Amino acid sequence: MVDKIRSLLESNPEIHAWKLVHKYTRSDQLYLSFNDREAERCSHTASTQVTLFTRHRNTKGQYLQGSTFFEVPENDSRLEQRIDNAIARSRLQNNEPYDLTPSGLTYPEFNDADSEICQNPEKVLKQLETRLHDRAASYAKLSIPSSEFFLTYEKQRFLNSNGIDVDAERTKILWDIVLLYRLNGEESEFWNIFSRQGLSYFHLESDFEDFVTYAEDATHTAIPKSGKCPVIITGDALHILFQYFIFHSAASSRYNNAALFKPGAPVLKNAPAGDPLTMFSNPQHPGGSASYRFDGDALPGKRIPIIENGVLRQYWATKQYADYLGIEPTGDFGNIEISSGSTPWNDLIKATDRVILVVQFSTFDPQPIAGDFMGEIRVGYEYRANGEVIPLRGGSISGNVAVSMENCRFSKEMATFDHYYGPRGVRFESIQVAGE
Amino acid sequence: MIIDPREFSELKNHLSEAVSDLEKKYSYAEAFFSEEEGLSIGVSDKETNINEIPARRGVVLNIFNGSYSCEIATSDTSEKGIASIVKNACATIPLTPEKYTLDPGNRLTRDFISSFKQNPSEIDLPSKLAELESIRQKTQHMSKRVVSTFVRYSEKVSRKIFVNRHRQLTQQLLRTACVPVVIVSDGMSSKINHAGNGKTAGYEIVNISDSILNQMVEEAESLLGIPPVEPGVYTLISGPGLSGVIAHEAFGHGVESDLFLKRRAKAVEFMGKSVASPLVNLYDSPAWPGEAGSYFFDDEGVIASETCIIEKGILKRAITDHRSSVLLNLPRTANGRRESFAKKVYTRMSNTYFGRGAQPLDDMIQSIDRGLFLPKGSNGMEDPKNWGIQAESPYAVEIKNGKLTDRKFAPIVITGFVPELLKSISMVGPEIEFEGMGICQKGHKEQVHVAIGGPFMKMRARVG
Repeated sequence: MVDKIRSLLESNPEIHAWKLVHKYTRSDQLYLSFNDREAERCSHTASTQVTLFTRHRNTKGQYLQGSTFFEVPENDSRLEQRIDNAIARSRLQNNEPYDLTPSGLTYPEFNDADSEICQNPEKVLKQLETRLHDRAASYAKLSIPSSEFFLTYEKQRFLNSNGIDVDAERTKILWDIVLLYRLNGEESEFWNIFSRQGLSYFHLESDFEDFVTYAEDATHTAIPKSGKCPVIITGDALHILFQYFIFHSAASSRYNNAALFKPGAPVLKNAPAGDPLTMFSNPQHPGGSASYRFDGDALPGKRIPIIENGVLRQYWATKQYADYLGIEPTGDFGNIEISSGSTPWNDLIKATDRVILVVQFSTFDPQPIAGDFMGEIRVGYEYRANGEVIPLRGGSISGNVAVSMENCRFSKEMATFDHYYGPRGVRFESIQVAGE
Repeated sequence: MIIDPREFSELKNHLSEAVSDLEKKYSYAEAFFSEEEGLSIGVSDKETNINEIPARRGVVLNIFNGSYSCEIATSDTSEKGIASIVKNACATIPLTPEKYTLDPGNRLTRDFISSFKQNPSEIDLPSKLAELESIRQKTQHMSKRVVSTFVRYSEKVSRKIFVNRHRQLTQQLLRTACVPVVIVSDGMSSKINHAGNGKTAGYEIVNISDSILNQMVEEAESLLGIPPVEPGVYTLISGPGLSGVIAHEAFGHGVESDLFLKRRAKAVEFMGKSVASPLVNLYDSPAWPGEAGSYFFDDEGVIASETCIIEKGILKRAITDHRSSVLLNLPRTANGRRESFAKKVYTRMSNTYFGRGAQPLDDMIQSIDRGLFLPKGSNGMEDPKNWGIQAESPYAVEIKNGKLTDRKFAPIVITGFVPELLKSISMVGPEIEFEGMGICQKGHKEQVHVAIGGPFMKMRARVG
């Protein structure tokens, strides 16, 4: 199919440029409930995604560009018609022109695919099931009402009209796990969902131990008192926390007049009282779920400094927006890498009165443009000055990322959570808590 | 975009043959096909983007081997592709001792097409672009603090075929969305706001009045620099959007019966008992016409109808998928849904909403000495095991001495214990409205179209 599409695109004089991505995805899934299998699934999908570009002149003689995306499913019988429709659509767009990525670039030898998942996913699923049951067997008060494993293998081939023809493979394990812990006739629940690139980054046993602790602690939780206090955020919420900084440092946001940050200027209104922010886009972090060999324009994955010591060093830019702004393209944003602070974890959780550690929110979705955030505490701990540690569930925190970041500290210890690589915890000194 | 259902004939025959072949070995099999077709258009002050919506076309064969479901899904929908799955399935899927049986339902063959006023296919693309650009330009010039505007439009036909030994059903659902978005800034901070909606409807959805656009811009400006709310327990009034978030998160997810099977829902202990104020009625209905979560049959071939979940404060019924209804001996409802052919069926909501009451909004406001008015909802999260709830609202307006004041607070999050929250409902408005873009996840995955709504409601809740 790829060769046929390529040939039709190349032979059409109305098409100025094109890129296409052929994707094959295999997903093997296992659904367990208590000691039973609920379902097994296997899904194979293939499609070719085509973007074609046309150019035309306006009345002033300037070149304008149109581009449009369409997907060619397997067994598609309307390919020629799709191309004609796409040309007609693209001619209705009067966008600034930009050039596609040239050939001749060097791509990192970056292996983002786990060989066991590629070669024998059924065997891997059976092994994961056994490992889970073995680990759970030592906990009499524990049951596992739901454990869903998704193994995904994806192979991608990218071609464009400048002669690029590159490919990449990647794998992912996604685990959706629920634990029930029974104590004195009452059951408490812990639920988590996360993904890792491959088996070497998937620590089922140690993660499971943590989850059991959270489930057990959930049997005797309190709701925090209302008021302001230091709050530490850790875990998977960290990969969403920095969306405000990613949005306002994007060339696309700058182009659309929506970016608040300017190169060379501080990203916060007031000078930070705590640790300044240093942020990289890192598409090559081993095991990161946003790692890539090349991005959607076939730009090679590179680690790029975006914010250094609280100052915007450069916008991150895809090829399109880099051309629009006349800057170097950095490639699409990869994993979020945040530099560590100097405070050891044990000092970070020290309280003069109380410190709240949030391990998991019910949902946490900071608004990327305004930076407002709010979240109910699903799993948390209150560390008190007298050494007491109280498990928390319920109540909420709220604030604004840009304001809160003016007085925060990063842990010295680093950790990877999904597509985040950075301090294990971020401590905000004054956060509004709504509770009892 | 809508095609003649006769075009499905060949594929339906292939699927029927596949089911028949599989049932020579297994006690139950069914086939499901889904695909999407349509356009998305985005206009901003600097760019126009017109793209096709990814087709996501494929078939899944679901084979029950006696104790669990085995599914093979493929994007190869050819006769040869489907036959190859059948062969592969029969060779690899083991028969196991029968733990329960699945019911194919009574015989039914139907083709359904959703209704709309204006067919998007009958309006040419330049006219659509001109109309969307006109909406954007009006918004752009409504205030000097507007820094960016864009309009997102999509038209999508979702086509589905369900086949088992007794049923051959097809449906085509036209879903259209038009969402103008504004970003305002004072140079130091920014706020975003949107209007519009996504529904099972046609091009008529693009008809957005100037007053709605003006309200969107004024609302965004009014949020610049506003303070956070003092945390505490408040008497508050929820607008239809927030009422909908509460309905969806509090009792929608809480009565998804696949969670009953997993002992993940506290609601199972309260069937037939009081869980809310007697003023509260709560429904889920894919048969409600024209909303984002409307459909004619679910992805397991059950015809859509209304389920009354709470009646006068009493928890009456759960929503079910096929497996859960059999294992729990509960009536089947049309709530077995997949994100696409490539994903599994779970029990999922459709259009979930509180029923109407009789008290007008003005009476609610006048009845409050000190409280908050939360006209909109934005997001939320369920916790069916503990009956916790998180419901978010972009802002709150102060109510003092029975009147709305000019003071606003943001951001706003409501948390609490679901029965406590629902039992505190003391007034319910007479009009039901649906709001939102209509997407729901199970946990943090498996997206399906839903709608949420209800009337204005007065309640007590913890606000932060």
